[in-house]
Amino acid sequence: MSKTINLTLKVWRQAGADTPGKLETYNATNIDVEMSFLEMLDVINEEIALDDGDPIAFDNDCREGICGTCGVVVNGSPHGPQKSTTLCQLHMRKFNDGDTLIIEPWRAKAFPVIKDLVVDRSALDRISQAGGYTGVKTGQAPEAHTIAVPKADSDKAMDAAACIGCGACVAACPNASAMLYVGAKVSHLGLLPQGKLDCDRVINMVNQMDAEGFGNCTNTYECEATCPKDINVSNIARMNRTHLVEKIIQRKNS
Amino acid sequence: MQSICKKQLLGLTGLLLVGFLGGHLGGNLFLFGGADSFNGYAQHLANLRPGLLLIEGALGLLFITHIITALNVWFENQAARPIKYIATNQNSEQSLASKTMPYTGLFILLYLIWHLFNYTYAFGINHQPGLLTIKLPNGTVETKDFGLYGIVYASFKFSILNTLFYVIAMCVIGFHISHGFASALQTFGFSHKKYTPIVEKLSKLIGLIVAVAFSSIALYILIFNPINAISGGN
Repeated sequence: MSKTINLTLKVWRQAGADTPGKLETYNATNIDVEMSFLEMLDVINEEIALDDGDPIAFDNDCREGICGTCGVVVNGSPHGPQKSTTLCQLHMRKFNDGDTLIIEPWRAKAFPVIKDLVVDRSALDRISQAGGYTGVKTGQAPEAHTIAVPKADSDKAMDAAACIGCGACVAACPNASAMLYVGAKVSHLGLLPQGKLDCDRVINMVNQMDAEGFGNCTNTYECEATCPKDINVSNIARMNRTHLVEKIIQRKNS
Repeated sequence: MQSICKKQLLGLTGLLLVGFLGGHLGGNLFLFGGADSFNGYAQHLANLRPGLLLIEGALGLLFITHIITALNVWFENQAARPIKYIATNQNSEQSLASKTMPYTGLFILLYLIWHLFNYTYAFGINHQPGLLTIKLPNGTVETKDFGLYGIVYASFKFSILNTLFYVIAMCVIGFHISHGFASALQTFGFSHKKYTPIVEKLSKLIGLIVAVAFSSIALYILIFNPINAISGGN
């Protein structure tokens, strides 16, 4: 039998998008420290269900840190206090017996709460639809060296492609800005020869980002500090300069 | 205007204003040289009229653009998170300066207005002569008009509150720049594994130089009283 701890949870409960929410207190007793954070919430939900209550709604899917579905803010840190991991990869051994945890949903105008800890992140999808894609030839797989990609570029593109679109960057940013997410898409696609064909990518994505009501980047780098995939803010710089270049080219062509 | 364009406008005007501060500091250093040296410099500037009006106009436009863009960005950022977090936590190692830019900025605006009334347009607005009463080495006391030098001197020597406010304002400006300079470069897309950390240190250094160099002039007059003034003002 492994060690167990007792916690006090203060969880944001909100019945629906248009109803006001508030923190409710739950006692998490005898929590096995080897559980993940989501498993701990499952245990609490079973107890709530046994009492005929409404279980806490929270998003989750793969539970191995690659899908980008889970995520809540624990004591002011998106995905909890452990760096470079998603909420589902966070284990209860990271907490101490007697801790009080304040659990809130991602907070942003562009991420309206659907219920409890579940928010609507489709704003990020709409940004990707505006320019976060690239044209590829269909049919048989081409020979691997048909289009040569410099190793340095491919490394940077792959690092940016690690973004799982969880939205923790928006949740962490004091301005609820989506610049790290969009910056990751810019590097992921724009550094590769295939992606270079799609011009005005940044302008289109930034237009959509602004329309969704995300804030402006003020370079506080909270996003980088909380990103579970360690996406670097140099991607935001790349986006800034690519945007400037696109603007100049657009003006020249018009 | 797109969010990134706004940020770049903010960064560009900010960088140009840092450049202006450098020039301003150069001028202020004439205060170390005494009344003739500083008044000579001030007269030299005044002689540039009406060309000076162009520079003043451009400078005014820079300030106004910087302030309006900053306020716009700030209000948008406030609106982007209508419901605040109950628990907050500092996750990044970034400085306090980055998060307090709107507040330090507004304080600088207050200081700027005060500065324009007290120094820049002191003659035009107050018709205030730069009278100082000084004690000469032979023991005699003399009162004469030291011009703009006298106004600046009296404001630092005979009003400790004034000097304190000035020094605090210089520190706030330095603090504002310590984030602003590096932030502007990031906003224009400058990012380099090796050079970005240097730029961030440089940014803090520029902020420190601005705070220390401007303050040193006020403190020099307050503490050392180089022309042995015993009273000033009207």
